[in-house]
Amino acid sequence: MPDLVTHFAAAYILKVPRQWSKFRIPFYIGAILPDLLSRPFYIIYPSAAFVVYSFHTPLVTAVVCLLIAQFFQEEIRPGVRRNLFLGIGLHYGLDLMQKYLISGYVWLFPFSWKSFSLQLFWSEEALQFVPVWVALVLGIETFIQIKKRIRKENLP
Amino acid sequence: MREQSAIHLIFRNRWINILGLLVVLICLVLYGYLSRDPVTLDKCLNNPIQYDGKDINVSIEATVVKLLSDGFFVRQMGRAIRVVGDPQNASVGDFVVMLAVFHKEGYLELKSLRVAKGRRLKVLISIPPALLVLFLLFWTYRFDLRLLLFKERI
Repeated sequence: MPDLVTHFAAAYILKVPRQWSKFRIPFYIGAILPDLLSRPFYIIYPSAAFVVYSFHTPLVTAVVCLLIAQFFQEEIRPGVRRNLFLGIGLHYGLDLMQKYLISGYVWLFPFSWKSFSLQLFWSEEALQFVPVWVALVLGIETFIQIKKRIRKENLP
Repeated sequence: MREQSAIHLIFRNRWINILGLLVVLICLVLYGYLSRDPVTLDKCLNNPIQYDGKDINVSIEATVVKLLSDGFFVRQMGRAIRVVGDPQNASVGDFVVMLAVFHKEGYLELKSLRVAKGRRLKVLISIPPALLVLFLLFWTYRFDLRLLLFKERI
């Protein structure tokens, strides 16, 4: 996996256009969800990896998304659900680009144990771009806030 | 028509949906756990004769604990083992991912290795975005403890 800064920044940038910015929080959650459901457990207790690895597969994450959406009010639930799905799609899209030494993620779990990836970069290589992502997110957010303030001041 | 509305009503019940999804989730996780029997360092060291000559994938939280002239020692899940092979640019404390052959004498013969330099940093810098998203969630939505529902803040 690339780090969560990369995953979050990619999600943030995609949700900048105003017409897409509704439900941006569920989109951000989806973009980091597969790692949140698996990594902390086996970083703290490595033996848990054999139990939690399935949480980093599209089908299991999709079930978790459906479950999470149930905890949002009915009027916004479809939008939340859709954006959670889009977020996990973005997450897996980035993970798919990674190189693996032995085997990668089992994308088709539980139907197949085969894994495949585009083998473009090692997961730690994304770290060198973290300062760029952080600067970009902060720059965009500052620009948006300044624009909002100017618009507010110009209101009659 | 009446049957259709009964089914519709069942699926409209939030708690039935939650229960159903939890059952599916538990089944999938259990299937994933029970249907895969990976060769682990722990199994190899507990039954060296049975696993002699078998390929082993040492990738989960494995770290270099000591460098030797002809290899290194690696620790995974509380078990340490000697690895014969080129440690590349690994230093003590580095995370590694490797494919090796287990030998009953109690060592691994390295087939391929990747030193995951920067993994610790990756884990550390992944904490703030997770906390930020959690903060934004509660900033944007209000959690109704009585109904266990996130509602939009007005």
